[in-house]
Amino acid sequence: MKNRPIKIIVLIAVAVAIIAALLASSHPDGLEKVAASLGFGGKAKGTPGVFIDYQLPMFPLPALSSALAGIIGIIIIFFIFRSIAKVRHLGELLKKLLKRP
Amino acid sequence: MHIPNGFLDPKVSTGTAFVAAGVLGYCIAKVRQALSAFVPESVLAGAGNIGCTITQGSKKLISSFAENHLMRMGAIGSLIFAAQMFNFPIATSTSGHLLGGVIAAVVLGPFSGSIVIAVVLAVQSIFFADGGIMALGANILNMAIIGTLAAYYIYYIIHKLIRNRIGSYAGIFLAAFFSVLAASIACAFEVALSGTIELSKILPAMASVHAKIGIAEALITIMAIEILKSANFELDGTIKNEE
Repeated sequence: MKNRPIKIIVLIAVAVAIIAALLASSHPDGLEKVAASLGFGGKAKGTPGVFIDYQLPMFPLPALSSALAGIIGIIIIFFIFRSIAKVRHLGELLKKLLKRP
Repeated sequence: MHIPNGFLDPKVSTGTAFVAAGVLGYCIAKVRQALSAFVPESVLAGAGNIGCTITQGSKKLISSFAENHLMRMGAIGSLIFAAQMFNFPIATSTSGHLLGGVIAAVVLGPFSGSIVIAVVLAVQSIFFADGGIMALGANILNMAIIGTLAAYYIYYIIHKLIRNRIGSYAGIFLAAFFSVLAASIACAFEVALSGTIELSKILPAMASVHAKIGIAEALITIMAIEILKSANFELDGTIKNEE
């Protein structure tokens, strides 16, 4: 049951992403606003990305699309750390197996 | 305040990338050290020669501890990623969102926190086009290093001076406020150094907007840390590896 708080935090993250998809303000953020009002916003170059503006590509419902994109992001980040954790664990296991005559 | 591609010149992009990579490398080394130093290596080496029961037991302890810490980092990282999607209105036609650096640093320790925010920024930049890949070094320097690692020590010093609940709240409030303000000032300097806009124009504009966002950040950070603490999610000081 040691991993229970971790599961809860990830579930809260999913809930926050869904709420954000429904309620987040679409106004420009601090830097975008400053860039626009000082007249250098046009210098921003679009970058390639799979989920531009936190939207699934070619998905009709923006709120649902954003929620799903958020959940995909949560999964990516959690699995980056999870795989490091498991690989470490695997490394220890391998060492133990190799040391055994 | 994720800087997009096009705001920074190659000089500033590469310079900030080198600084960010250097500091992050140091953070990774510190976290590795903390995770593997939980049982002294000499004990392990000695035990290996005598018999395998102690070795196996202690190795298991290390790896399950390290595994749990890394899973916590992943959980906090995904929470901060989700929270960063939540733009709240801050003034007329402007929004702000959480940075989360102080949350990560207080809950996980400053070095782990810094790594977590850097990973969040990298994922946002690679998959979500939020923050340019060419500006990733600058974004990591501003938010993961200045806004997390450096900001943590504001909390740390205040908490050491005033050793009670008020000191803890005041430390978190000021650290979170200054994490956003300092990151926005660093961002202004980087954009100005690149020759995109004069410093005299961008600095006051960035600082005034982000002072407001900083107050929201501070209040959210206090709430989030309280909730995480009550869920028993905070690590104790020895593992945090503060110095």
